[in-house]
Amino acid sequence: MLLERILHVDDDEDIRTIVQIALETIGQFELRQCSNGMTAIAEAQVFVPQLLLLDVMMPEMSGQEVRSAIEEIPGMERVKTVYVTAKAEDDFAKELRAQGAVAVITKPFDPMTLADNLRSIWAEAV
Amino acid sequence: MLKQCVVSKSLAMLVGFLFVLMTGIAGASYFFAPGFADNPALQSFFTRYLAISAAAALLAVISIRLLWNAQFKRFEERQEKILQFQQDVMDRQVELLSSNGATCILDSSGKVVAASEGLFDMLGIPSTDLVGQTLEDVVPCFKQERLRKALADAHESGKFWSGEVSGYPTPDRGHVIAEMTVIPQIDKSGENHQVLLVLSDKTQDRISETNQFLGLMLEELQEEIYVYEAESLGIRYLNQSARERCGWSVDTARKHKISETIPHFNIDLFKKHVGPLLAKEQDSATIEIRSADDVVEVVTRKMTGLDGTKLFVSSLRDLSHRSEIEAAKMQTVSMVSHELRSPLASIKGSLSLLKSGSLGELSPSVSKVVEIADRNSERLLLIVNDILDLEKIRSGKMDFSTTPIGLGALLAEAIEANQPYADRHGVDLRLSDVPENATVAVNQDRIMQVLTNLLSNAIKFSDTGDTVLLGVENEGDGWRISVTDNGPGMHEQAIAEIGKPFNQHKPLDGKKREGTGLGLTIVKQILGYHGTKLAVESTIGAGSTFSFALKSSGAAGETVSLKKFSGAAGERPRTLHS
Repeated sequence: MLLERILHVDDDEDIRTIVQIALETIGQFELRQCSNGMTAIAEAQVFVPQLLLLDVMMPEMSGQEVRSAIEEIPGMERVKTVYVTAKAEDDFAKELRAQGAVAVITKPFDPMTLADNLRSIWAEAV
Repeated sequence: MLKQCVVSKSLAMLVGFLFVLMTGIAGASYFFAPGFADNPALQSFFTRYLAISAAAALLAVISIRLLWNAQFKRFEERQEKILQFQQDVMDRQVELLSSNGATCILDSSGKVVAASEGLFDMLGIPSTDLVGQTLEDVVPCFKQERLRKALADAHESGKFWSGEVSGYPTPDRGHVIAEMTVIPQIDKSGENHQVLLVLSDKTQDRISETNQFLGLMLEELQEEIYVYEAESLGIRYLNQSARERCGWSVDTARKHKISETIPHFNIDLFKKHVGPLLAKEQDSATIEIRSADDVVEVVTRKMTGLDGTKLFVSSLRDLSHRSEIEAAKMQTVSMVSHELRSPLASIKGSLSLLKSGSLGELSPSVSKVVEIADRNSERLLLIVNDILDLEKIRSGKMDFSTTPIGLGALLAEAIEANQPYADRHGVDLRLSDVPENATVAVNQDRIMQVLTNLLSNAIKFSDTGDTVLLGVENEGDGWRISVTDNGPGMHEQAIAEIGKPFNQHKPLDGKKREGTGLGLTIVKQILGYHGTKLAVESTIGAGSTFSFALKSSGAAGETVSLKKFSGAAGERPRTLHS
């Protein structure tokens, strides 16, 4: 199964713009973007993404809370999650993987290779 | 004064005698003058003249006598004062000499005329060596201006001086502290010709005072101090903080053992702690003990008591507060790092998209400034990463677990990782032959970080077409890994300053290189955790070699967590060629 639908959640508008270019323009994915957890949960029920690309530290709901909430939506239990975080500590990345993330990408990332990276991660995860 | 009085008196007598003689001669000349008997007026004048002259002579003698008496009385008073002064001097000398003082007498030129054996005991210098010398020649502290002035005042003005003299080292006793009294010596004429010095040893008194002061300080220390016997573990002394923790009085504490200071005292941990002290492997041992309530650091030293008993002195410091500060600091650094990395992600991402051309072709001038922005955002990111790494190492949060790994594979990976950077600089990156069986136990990520730092530095300082060699050679029970460049080399001072944070030495070729100034600081820290040190050899104008030793390891083994070593395995002395 190919990766086609990605839901990206990040409170930083600039990052959202870069990710949009990286995944829509360059990566040719079907992408939806949200600036907070609540709108993401609502969007997920309509969009039904294959992969969640989540920022970790957001003001209202953290990335982990968004993931937990979306996984509780019927039919979304097996959605894959990739975190994008500025917290570069090894321990933190391990902790996120232990919680069920398929990968952790550290900011700053290269937008030119982001799409290919996500495809590789998806191929390993499914 | 006495001489003046005698002269005055003799002169008075002579004047009186001459006056009477001249009066008699004048009277006789009148008496025998012709017609004297028949001239009543002349007789009357002569009689009055004689009476007045006799009265004047008598008055002169009496006045002079009175004057002489007054002068003599002043002389007597002065003599009495001198005698009293000399008596005082003698009393002072007797008092000082009876207090076991060391004495010597100096002549008017400041040279020692005589010295007592007590002075020899105090200074450790034979009294015969002192005689004929000035004190300045023999005891350097007498060159102090205040002592020179004291001696000069005693000689010139007859002034007493008393004060403390310290700091003159003796062969047997080290520094001596003494109270010195300078006593001018007055001869019969009342002049000062000699000076008596009396020194009283106050070293022990001062030591006692210092010990008393130190004892008080020890009592008031916030750190807990435990002094106990090494064999029986019986407590000799606890300071106030330690007694408060234990709830004991001074006397009660002496009835307990160190193992009774806390409930559930871990005797095995204690033995492990003091073991290296008993084996004389270390001078002091440090251990950090964490419990649910607090974090304490215990530092123990072995000492010998005054009665020869082997003692342990442990100081216990509460680190809970420090841990909180460290945690807060790390949290702040982590937060700042996060806050910097997020905008950096936007900047770098935007620049990367611009550079790629996916947003449209850029003119050459726009490409140039985009390249500048991209290069500097990369530099900023490296600084952020290095600061984070340093904080992680310092707070003990960096992973240093080791596993045995083939040296060949490790170095080949380092070459591969740094090849793009070398290509960009037109530098030839080479790896020397690595023995197939060479295995080392290291933390692969961290040693890779070390090699990347050293290789990127070597590349940076090389000219296009130069070669950077990653070498391996057998050394003792391990391997020495080296990175050699043909760059401009380094001065000795630049080598000495390697590892200081944000230190970037000025290259000898004057070319500016990019760098955070933290790379080699991190390298030294990582190598410290691997029990080794960075060695540097440099030849000005010909290049530098940075190297470190790693011990051989078996082919397989369990993962080991490293603690930072204070010593270094296989450290090579720093050498310079210029």
